[in-house]
Amino acid sequence: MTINKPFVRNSLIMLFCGSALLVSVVLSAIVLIAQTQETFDKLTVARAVRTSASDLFSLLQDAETGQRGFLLTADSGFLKPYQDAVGQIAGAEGRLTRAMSELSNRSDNTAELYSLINEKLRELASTVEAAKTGNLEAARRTVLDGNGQELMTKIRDRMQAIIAASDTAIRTNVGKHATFSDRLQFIIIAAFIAILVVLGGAIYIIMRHVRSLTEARRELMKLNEELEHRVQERTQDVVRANQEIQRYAYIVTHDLRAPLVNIMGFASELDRSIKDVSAYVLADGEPLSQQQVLDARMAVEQDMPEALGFIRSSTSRMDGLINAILKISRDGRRQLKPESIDVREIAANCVASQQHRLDEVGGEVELALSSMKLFSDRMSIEQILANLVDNAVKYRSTERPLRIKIEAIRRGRLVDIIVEDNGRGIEADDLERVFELFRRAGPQDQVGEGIGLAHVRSLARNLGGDIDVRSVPGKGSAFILTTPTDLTQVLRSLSA
Amino acid sequence: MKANGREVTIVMIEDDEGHARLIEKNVRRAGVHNEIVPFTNGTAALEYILGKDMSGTVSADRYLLILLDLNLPDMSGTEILQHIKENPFTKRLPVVILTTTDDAREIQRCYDLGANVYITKPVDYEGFANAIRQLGLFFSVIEVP
Repeated sequence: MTINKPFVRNSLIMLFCGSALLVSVVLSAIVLIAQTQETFDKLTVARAVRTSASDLFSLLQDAETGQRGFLLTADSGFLKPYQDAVGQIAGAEGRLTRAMSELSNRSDNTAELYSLINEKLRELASTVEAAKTGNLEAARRTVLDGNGQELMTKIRDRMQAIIAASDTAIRTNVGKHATFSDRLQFIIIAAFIAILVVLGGAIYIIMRHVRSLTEARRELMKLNEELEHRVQERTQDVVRANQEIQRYAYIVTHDLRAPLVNIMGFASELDRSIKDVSAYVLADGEPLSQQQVLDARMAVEQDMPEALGFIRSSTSRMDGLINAILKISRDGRRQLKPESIDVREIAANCVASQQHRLDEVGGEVELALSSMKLFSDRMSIEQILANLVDNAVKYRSTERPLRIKIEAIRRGRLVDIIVEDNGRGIEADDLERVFELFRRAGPQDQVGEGIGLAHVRSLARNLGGDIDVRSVPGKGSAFILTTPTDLTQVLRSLSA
Repeated sequence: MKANGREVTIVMIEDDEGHARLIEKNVRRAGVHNEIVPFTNGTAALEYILGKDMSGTVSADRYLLILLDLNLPDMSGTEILQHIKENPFTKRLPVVILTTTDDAREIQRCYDLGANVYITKPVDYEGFANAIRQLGLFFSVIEVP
């Protein structure tokens, strides 16, 4: 089936597109999610660095505050926060180191920072130790020499650098995170739309396929029916043609045999007359009886001319019959020439050519048809119409003036051309007979051979149509010529 | 040929004048001298046999013998036969079919319709004359009502 090919191809393409789309959506989603995770991790690390750095710095500040308080007051109560802070500094340093180690671009130098812190712690411890031993003055001097202050400033700068770097990392990663989320959202929406499109396309293709399948099946059924109908029609045609040939052969043999019987019969009669005459002529002086003289006289005066007359008329009748048969057979073999013709124009021409006869009998023709184009054989249509009009004139009623009506009714691919008259009509039993060769119906008061309607019928059937008649005896007849509007189709189907 | 002491009239329905003449000649030669009324078409013949009104009463006290050809120009011989055999006044009239047709079905149909004799016209004249002469013999023995 050729119908299936595009369907299979289209659905495969659709399937492939859909799968490719889904795979690419999943892949890009995985990549995006991985990237999001990474930025999130970086964010966490940056946060941890920032937190542990500020923790460490505030512990250092606490320690310094405790040291200053102790040095100012010499109250050992201030040693508590100092000692607490110093105790926690190692842990805070460890946390910062761990956090820094997870940082990908470790450009810092924690070692320097830690040595600064150690130095500061040492300075703090030395002052605190000095103060404890009562050497407050020495401790204060140490503080006043600004060395500790300077260390603290250095540490603060380092810390602030770390925090600032963390803040930058946090900002960039937050930005990245937002970008990746936006991308993911965008991809999901795009994928959703694409899947909808693919799905819609697939549904459309399937629907179209189903529709075309249904249509094809319907067409197949119609074709089947048509085929059956055509076979039936052809069979009918063949049967009809066969019957017609049989009837034709029967009529022809009968009608040819009838004059033959006459010729043979009157030849024998002639023979008999010659005997009568020769008895008289060849008497050679022998006495003749009264009867012999009468017979010879009768033979010469009556029988012989009569016999010759019948022989002559029979041969000319045979000749006429043979010519008629030839004419019909020639018409059957004539090449039909389909051309564009106008039914009304042909009808009008036909009426015009018989106008003088119509005038003689006081007849009128009504052309009850509008201009109608056919594609058919002009000569056939002309001859059919001429014969029908001629018959209408011939077999008119003597009781009323002749009225003929010519109509044309289109019925799809066929057209009915109707010639209706108000003539004497045809008996129901004779309706079929009128179309037979050499047969006529009703009173034989008109000259005719019984050929016209047989000729019309063979012309009509050659055109792929037929002729029919309906009639009310005493009221009129209507001859209906049914013929295809386009003869070329008929010829094509005949040659096919 | 007489029936109940009355002359029988032969009604010859034959469209071919030549045939009609040949039949008449041979009937005469067979020694039959009854009146022959010829018709060349069925319409006029039926009018004569059944009357203008087709009732058949005109033939109520006529003695007719009908010679009928099957192939007539205006109606078929079987139709005429049917009309004659369906009419109560004419159904007993003897009908002799004399025709060129030798189709077996046609012959059967004529007998079915009530034809008394069916004769095929032979093309050779001897056969034809012979058939008519035999018909003459037949006429002399046939009973006309």
